[in-house]
Amino acid sequence: MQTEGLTKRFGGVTAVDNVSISIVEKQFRAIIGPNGAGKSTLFNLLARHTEPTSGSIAFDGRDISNLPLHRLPSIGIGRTFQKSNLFWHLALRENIRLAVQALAVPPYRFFRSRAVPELDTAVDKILERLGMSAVADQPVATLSHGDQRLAEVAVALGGSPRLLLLDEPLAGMSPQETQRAVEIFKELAKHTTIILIEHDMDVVLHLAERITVLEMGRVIADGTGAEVQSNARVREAYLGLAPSC
Amino acid sequence: MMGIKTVAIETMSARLQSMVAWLVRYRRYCLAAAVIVLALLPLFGLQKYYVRLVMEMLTYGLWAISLDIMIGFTGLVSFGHAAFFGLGVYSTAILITKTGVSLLPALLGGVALSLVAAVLIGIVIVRLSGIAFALLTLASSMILFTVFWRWSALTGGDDGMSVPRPDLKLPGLSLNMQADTSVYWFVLAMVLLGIYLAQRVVNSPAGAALVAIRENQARAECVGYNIFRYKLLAFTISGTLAGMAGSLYVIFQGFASPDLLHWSSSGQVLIMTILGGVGTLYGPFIGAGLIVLLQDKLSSLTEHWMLPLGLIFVLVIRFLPKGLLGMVRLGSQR
Amino acid sequence: MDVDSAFWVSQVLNGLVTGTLLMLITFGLTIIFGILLVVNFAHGSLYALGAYLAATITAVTQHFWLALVLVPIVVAVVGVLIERFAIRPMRQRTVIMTLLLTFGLALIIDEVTRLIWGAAPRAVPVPELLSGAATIFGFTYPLYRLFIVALGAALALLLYLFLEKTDLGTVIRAASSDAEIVQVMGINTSLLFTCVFALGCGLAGLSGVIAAPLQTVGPSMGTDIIVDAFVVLVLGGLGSLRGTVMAALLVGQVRMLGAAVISEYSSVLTFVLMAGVLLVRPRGLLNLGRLDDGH
Repeated sequence: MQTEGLTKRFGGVTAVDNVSISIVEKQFRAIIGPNGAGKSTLFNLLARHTEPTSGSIAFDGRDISNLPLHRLPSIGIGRTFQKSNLFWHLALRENIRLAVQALAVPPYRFFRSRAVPELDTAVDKILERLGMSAVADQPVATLSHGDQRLAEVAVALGGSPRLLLLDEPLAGMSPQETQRAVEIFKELAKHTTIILIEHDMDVVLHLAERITVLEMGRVIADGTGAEVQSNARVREAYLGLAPSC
Repeated sequence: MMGIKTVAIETMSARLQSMVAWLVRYRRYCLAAAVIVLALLPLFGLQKYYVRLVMEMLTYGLWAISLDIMIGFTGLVSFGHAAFFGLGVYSTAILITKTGVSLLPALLGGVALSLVAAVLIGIVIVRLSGIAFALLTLASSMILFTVFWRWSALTGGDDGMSVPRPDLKLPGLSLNMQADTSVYWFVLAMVLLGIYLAQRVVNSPAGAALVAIRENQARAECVGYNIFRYKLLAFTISGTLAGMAGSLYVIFQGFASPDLLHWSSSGQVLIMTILGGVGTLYGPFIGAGLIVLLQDKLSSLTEHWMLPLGLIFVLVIRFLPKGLLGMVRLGSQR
Repeated sequence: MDVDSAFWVSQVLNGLVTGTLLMLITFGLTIIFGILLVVNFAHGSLYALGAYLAATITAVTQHFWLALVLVPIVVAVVGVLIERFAIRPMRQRTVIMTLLLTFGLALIIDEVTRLIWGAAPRAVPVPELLSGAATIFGFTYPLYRLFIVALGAALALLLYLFLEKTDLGTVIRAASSDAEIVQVMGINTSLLFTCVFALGCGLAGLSGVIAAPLQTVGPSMGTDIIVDAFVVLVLGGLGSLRGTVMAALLVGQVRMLGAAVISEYSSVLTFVLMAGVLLVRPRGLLNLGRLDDGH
């Protein structure tokens, strides 16, 4: 995925300012920055949730700046939401199934049976990958917070994405849950490109191959964990503010 | 004391659950039995009045089911569903009186016109949801109501129009439909066909997509469903089935009145659907039957039958939002 | 004045009267939606109830003015009961479920009205004081209709002053933009909601009294008016008083001038207007409302 001069203004405020980044296949990229740096806006631009003021986004060499939202999964992009956004009254299994079906079954099939064995196999696979088979039949509204965060990932995986956009997936998780999620992300990263927004610096440094640092909507650094950590501007703008790092 | 009470409740709920499980397990047989009883009904020497009453229950039932596709399965509450029922009624009525077609073309004409109208209206209004959608369906149905009410040259206006019942003519076959029992079988067969179609839709992959939209439209879009098209399809199917119900209604009733298009008529079918249980498909059918029966029984007792109806509706919304069938099914949900 | 222009002047004036009545009815709907986020389907039925009460009070006491004072209070009390026992328990439910509930309430109120007063229409005479006609610039127009316009303007002004200049008005305006703020301010929202709902219902009753001498009071009075009131509510932007004033006056003119041009189909025009606004400007003609995507 590449962005070229991506800019988003809200009235007089420039939330994302001329961002050009490039993420190669199978890379694990993290986007960090202090509060209000424009991470969320950038994420929403990448996920086509917000229309850019100017600039373009390309995926696989193809310009997707004007692609309708519902077409993203079909070209291989999946996303999670910062605030869990699920089919609350349905079972976890059904949540994933709906995501798988969106791509695996031709659309607008009104006179076929809903029972498609291949779908169930695919759903079971995802459940197993995330270690969530035990809670598969519970309505997601009744799952624990950590499981709901993972359910977000599971639904995103339903479209077998080649690029996975993770919006603060660990927010509010307990240390044990975080550890479990980190293991899962590591496993996913083996065959998926991942763009991650996260506050937990330890996790970011542990997982990401490359880190992009935003400040005031601009990219101020881009490199490996070590490079970013030693970058003077980053230390001043961000890490300096967080002595724990 | 408390202990005994909880145990009693537990045994009761367990008994209820096993009953529901039994019903769910043997639902095919239950359905088959219901169909057989309905089919044999005229042979029991039922009075003409009651044959008509059952036909009213059947057509209203199909109408309520069609509304459930929109409310229960797509999450769109329409306050103008009378528009499509009325379109079916009037297009069939006008076809019969002006061109003298036979039974099947009259029905098909009604269905086709409601289909076209549902697509055209749907394209404009399915972009909205919630209150705005409800008010917009109300507005669009009132536009149609005014047109049919005022265009007296075509529709007879306030006086309504009498519609002779045509015979069923197929190549090499002509069936006299003047007897209420003969048309009963036709209406029953068509209503069953409609319910079958609705049932297929709801249980299809696309039906699952509609539920996704009902549950969380934003997420449904993000996992790859084209919201606009799915909503439009649901709206169209719902409107077409409602039109079919309207066509059948005027065929056996023999009379079309603009009241059928008024918003209070839309409200009535909403009551049936919600009473029976939205999202259960068969619930609204039962709801429609109950309301028609209630109206019949109460209106012979008092002219104020709307009062208990209103009370029941308010109590259902307040205490039983899942409706009658929804409550029974609660225990058996996945 | 020649006959032709006299006709148009009277149509415009009739439109003004219709518009003023619609405005008064919809004020109630507007403040109720603005504060409680409830679309009250029973509003038309309360309006009809007001008209019937006025018919009885004037028949018994021969005092129209007594009805004008008493009826709004009685209907407001009915409103308090509705809010307490039907609307309040629905606070956690969706806007649409509450709309359905008020639809049921409308059926109940209509039928109770019919139970008490029967199906026969009632007539309310125009009060003696206003039974004449006024002649302005050689144009004659019924005094009572002019009174309606004046009363409507006065009430609109009063409501405006109440909302802008009094403490309670400030609280109500704050609540209509953000209910949470009011809660933070430590104000009893339950009481506020009840008051606002009662005020809205009282306005429905008042409109019923005022409208009664203009028409026969019949059982379908509420059903006939509610959809028009919805049209005004939507055009005004659901929840904006200023928008309601403009929308009501506009709909009044569309109705009357439309009736002169395309006779019976004039109500189609208003519904088309309503549909258009919902589609293109969901926050109303003046973009003042509080209807968001979420609702």
